[in-house]
Amino acid sequence: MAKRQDDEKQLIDSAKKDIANFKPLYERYVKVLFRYCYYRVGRNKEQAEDIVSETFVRAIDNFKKFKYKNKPFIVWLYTIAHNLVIDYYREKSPSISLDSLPFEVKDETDEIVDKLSKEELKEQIQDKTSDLPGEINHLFTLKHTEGLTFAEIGKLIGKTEGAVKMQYYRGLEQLKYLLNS
Amino acid sequence: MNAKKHDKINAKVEKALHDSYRADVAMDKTFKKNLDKLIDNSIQAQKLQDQAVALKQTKKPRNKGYFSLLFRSFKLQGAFLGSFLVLLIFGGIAFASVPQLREIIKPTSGTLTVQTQVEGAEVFLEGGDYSTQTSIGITPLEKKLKAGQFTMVIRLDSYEDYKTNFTLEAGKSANFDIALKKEDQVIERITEWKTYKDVQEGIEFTYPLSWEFKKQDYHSTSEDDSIAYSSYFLTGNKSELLIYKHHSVIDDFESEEFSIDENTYLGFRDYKEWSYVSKDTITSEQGTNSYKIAFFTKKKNEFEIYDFILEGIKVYDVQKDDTQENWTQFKQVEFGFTLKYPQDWIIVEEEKTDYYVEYEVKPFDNDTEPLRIIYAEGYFEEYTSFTTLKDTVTINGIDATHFYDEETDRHLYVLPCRLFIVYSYNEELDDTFSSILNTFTITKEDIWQTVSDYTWGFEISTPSDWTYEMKVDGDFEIEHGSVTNGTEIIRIYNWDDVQDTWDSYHESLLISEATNRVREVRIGESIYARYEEWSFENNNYFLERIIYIKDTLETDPYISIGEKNFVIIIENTIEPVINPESLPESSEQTLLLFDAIVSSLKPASD
Repeated sequence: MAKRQDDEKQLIDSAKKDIANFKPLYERYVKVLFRYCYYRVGRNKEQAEDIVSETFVRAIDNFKKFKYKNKPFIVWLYTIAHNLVIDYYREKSPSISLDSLPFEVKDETDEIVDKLSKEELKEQIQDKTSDLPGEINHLFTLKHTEGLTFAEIGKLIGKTEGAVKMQYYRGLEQLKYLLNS
Repeated sequence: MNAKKHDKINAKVEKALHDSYRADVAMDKTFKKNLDKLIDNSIQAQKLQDQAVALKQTKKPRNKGYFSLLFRSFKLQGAFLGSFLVLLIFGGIAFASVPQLREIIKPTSGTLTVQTQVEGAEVFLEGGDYSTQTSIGITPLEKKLKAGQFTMVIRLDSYEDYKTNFTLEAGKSANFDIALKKEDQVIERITEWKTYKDVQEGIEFTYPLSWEFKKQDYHSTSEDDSIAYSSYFLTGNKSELLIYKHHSVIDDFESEEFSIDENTYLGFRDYKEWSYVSKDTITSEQGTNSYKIAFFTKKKNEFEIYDFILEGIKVYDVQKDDTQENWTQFKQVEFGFTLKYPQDWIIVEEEKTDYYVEYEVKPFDNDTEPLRIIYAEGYFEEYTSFTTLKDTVTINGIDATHFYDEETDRHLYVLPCRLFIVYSYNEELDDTFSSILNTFTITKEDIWQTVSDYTWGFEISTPSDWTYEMKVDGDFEIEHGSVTNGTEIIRIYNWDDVQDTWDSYHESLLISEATNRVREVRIGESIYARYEEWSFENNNYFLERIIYIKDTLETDPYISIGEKNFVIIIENTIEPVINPESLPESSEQTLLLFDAIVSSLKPASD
């Protein structure tokens, strides 16, 4: 990990000296960013493509402003992409509001979910993720697509590890509620 | 629910969530190429901008007024302006292209990606460069195609074909992630079957009613026989079945074993348009008769139909009794039967109308009760007096239902095609009666047909120009078996479907102030009633409907066939009459024909 960070620091320094050296950074992160965007916009490939393009163009434009302080470059890219995703959802019809979902689901919901096979459950989750509130989808994407720990997510979104954890498990309950609706 | 179970379910959801978010997302190659160009341009534009800024900072005049800047050396001004122009041109292009780079590159092709949840489905395209439906590969598939409109079909054995139209735009991708739907068992989709029996050729088989049937006679090389044998061709949408004796080209192919599901078949693969050809031979019990069977199919799952048909194919020994060689042959061409009888016996035509004929076969000088052969196109009224069902017998290979009338000590054999044989046991003549019956053949098998409905578990015989299908119309507007010749319709309702509305239906019949007439009929093995509802208007009686019922319309009037119960209704039939008790012969014949069809109902044979 440390080596990767060292590599990354070298790449950033090199690009800082000459923006023509930005390309290796782009190559390193384009796939990861695409995957992140894909899940964030409800698995809409075209929309993900647009957001990835715009994220990199903005990153190149603003690269001078980026300061490497042990904060991984990808986190900076996520932040730009996250803002674009928010713009996307603002234009799109709103997804279900966080407040409209119950905090805890009823036993019947658990029973119904319990009866679904693994494959059915996976399919239904795929169907429902675009209906999830943006924040929850963001958490799920970071946790499962990017494999970040709660602490890392906390750093990224400016919350404590405990708060992230709580929001994550609340998100799980809400997902179950959506599966049953 | 306890906390432990709740946690277990949460863990299950989390695992599925993880799998769902971990599915690999492939980036479109065309998009990546375009993005690479966009990044290059943006970097180039940024670099020029940086250079321009740097240049500006380096050459910034110190302590000089604005005027002095104008008069700096031409070289410096030239360099600055040059850089500015380059920046303007490249930067302008890059900036303008930022969100819409694809328009500048103007690609002519796009990318199609197809994934199916069960991999290995074949993808066919029509459109663009493909003038006919062409296989382009197996899923998961990614293919670059010239932009255009396409029709795509995705095919996988045991799954329903998926078909869609799409437009592929240049520089874009069309992505499909499809959950193919598992096909129902094909055999369950076929509810109507037909049984064909050719007694002379000694063959019987049952096939889907929707399949086309063709019989072809093959002439032998011997001059004695004008027709040597028949072959039968059955054609469905995806399969064909051939039951034959002639030499076919497929006989020359070497067969090898192949397996479908857990069954093994003998045949070969990929012949003409067929994916599979399976061959079998079925021989009669005593080995005097044999048929070859060939099944051709495009779809593996059609073997379910083949297995079912194969099980129902019966090949009989065709008997030839030498002792009857000197007997006289009697042929009834019009009603389609033949028999042989001893030279000192006679055949007398006892009665003949357009729809009824009766012959007596008896010794020339003997006054005993004769053997009677009856053809009754309409209902055979005498039928109802034979109240005891004895058994099913085979008369020269023909299945017949055997009834007995204790009162008169007579036997009745109900044969297919509206033929009946009646005789009394006679010790002296019984052997001869049996020998005569062993020469009996039906030559007009195609006058009547038997149709099986395996969903409702019955079979019914109709004249061959009538059809049977499931329909929704008539009094109840619900699904029912419809037996029709295009003019008359016999509707067979499942009692389960109509019992809830029966009372109100019955009431509506009472309100219509109809005159009713009830006649006894035999349906299957029991005696029921034919209820006729006549209305009177302008000095004429109209037969509004006929209902076949148990005995009364009021409660549970259904007819039982096997384990299921039915109500049979015929509406608006025959011309109006002045007196319902005295119908014109043609109308009487129509009603008898209804009785004949309805009375043939019996549980479907396995």
